[in-house]
Amino acid sequence: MKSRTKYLIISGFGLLIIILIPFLGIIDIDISKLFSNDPDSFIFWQLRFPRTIMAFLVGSSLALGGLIFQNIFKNSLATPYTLGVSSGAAAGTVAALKLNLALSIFGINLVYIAGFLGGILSILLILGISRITKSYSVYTILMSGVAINFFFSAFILLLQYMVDITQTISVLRWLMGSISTTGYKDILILLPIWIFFILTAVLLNKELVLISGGENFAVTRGLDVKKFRILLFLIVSLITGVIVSIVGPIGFIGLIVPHIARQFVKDDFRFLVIVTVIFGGILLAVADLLARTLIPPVEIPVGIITSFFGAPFFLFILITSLRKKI
Amino acid sequence: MIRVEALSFVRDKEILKNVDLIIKEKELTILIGPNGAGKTTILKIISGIIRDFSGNVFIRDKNIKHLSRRELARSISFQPQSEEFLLPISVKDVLLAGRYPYKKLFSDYDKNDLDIYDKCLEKFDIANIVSRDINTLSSGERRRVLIASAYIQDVPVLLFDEPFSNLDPEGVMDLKKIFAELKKEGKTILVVSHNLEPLYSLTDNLISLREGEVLYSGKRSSTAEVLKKTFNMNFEKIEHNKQEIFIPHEKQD
Repeated sequence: MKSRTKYLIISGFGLLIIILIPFLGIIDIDISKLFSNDPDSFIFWQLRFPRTIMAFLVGSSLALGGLIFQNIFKNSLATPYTLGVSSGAAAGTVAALKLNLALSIFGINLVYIAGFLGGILSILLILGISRITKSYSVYTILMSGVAINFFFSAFILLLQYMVDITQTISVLRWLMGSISTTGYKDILILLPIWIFFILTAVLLNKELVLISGGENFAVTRGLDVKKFRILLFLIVSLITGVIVSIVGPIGFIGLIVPHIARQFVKDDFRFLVIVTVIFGGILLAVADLLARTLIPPVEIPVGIITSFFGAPFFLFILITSLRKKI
Repeated sequence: MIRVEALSFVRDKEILKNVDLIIKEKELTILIGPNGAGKTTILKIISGIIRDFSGNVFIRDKNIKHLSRRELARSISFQPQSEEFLLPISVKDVLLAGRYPYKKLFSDYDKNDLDIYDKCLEKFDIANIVSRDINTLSSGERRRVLIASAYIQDVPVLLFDEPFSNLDPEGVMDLKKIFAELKKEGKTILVVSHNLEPLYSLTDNLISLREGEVLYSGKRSSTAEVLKKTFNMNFEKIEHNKQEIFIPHEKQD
């Protein structure tokens, strides 16, 4: 089969699942009542449809962010979540919420900016540590990520404990990562950034391949690695910051999806980007479906679902990749 | 022609000391020297990987300090001793990356690139492995792919660091043929190698480096003498089937 056909089928299949998901749930939706003044119509258009779209946008961005980080650091365990970019963004967001900085400047809510800046701070810390120790090894970077994660978790707990106790529960719920409270308003905020992010990654696929081959490989083929790396850090931090400030930190999508996508796409990186985007969107949409149907009528925060299934998968990748080396 | 003038490079210690060199166009030059003599550093400087050196390097009378990364990648390619790919990457992606210096921002590889790519697959006989992850190839296949990736860059000057390491005899024979063809096509080739044999019949010039200084640079002649000075050992020249082989002996005195 020609690879183009194969990926068209994958894309069509993905689209089908996304269309199907809003129909599934505790209450069955009658298709004939979709465009009438019926509770079914409300549940479909006001609740399930927007959150499925949101789950797709968030999941695809997290997966693509993971793929980009894996290529920059040349390691399949490096993602914005494992390196502490998500927890930095979370710390920024919590700080903004707790200090009641929910103002907007030029129409942009400060909470998003705080999330973005928190993510950038984590990146700067990792790069700073790598530069001081002159070690860009995976070990250094992952260990720095662990430390950064702990630090920002402690910072969030401190804020939770000390500042404005009335918001503690809602912040706690948000920290678990949940798509249930989002609506069209959030989609409208995320959509333009999502389009920008996906387009940039698709258009920069040549550079992403070069950078994954290592610094010498990229430089001797004419890429300005340093400039390009900064650009990538900025766009991944931007989307991670905005996503975290809307739905909270959601783990493991960025880790698992590129890994699965690599099993499907072996020969052409352009398609790897596209398949990662589609799989990421589907995986989070399905996880969100599980979140709202597993234990009715309770809604489990989707971040719990992804971590619950993602952590064992993470270990699985770790063990198989280590076994291969022996 | 590559001209290196008063090249010095310090990192922790003095690695290159005031090196002057000329690498002649369309000829094959071998750079020899003991470990730590600075051979790889010279390749890295000429290919633009190391930029904080003092002195000047000219490629066809253009100072590489004034060339952009892309321009440099259109005139020179470099194959390190071991190119490490830590993530899975297909042979196709590795090869197409060689067309990158010719592409504008955001443009995709087009028909022209793919034609060159197809020719390259045929020339290096690697069409059957394009979908494989490069890390799963045998060392002979891997070397062939990496040399193909230098070739697809369509550059006049090719640099190689120890291209014959880790190859079995069949791989060595294969690679010899590839070098003969590259030379016939008029490429300027600079090879760092401990092992003179496989390329000796193709070699035009010899450069010898010791502790960051040039001991010899010129036509291939009195090779045994150059080897003796470079490695501080005696070498005996043996001729067999028109092939010259240099065998090291411990110094007598």
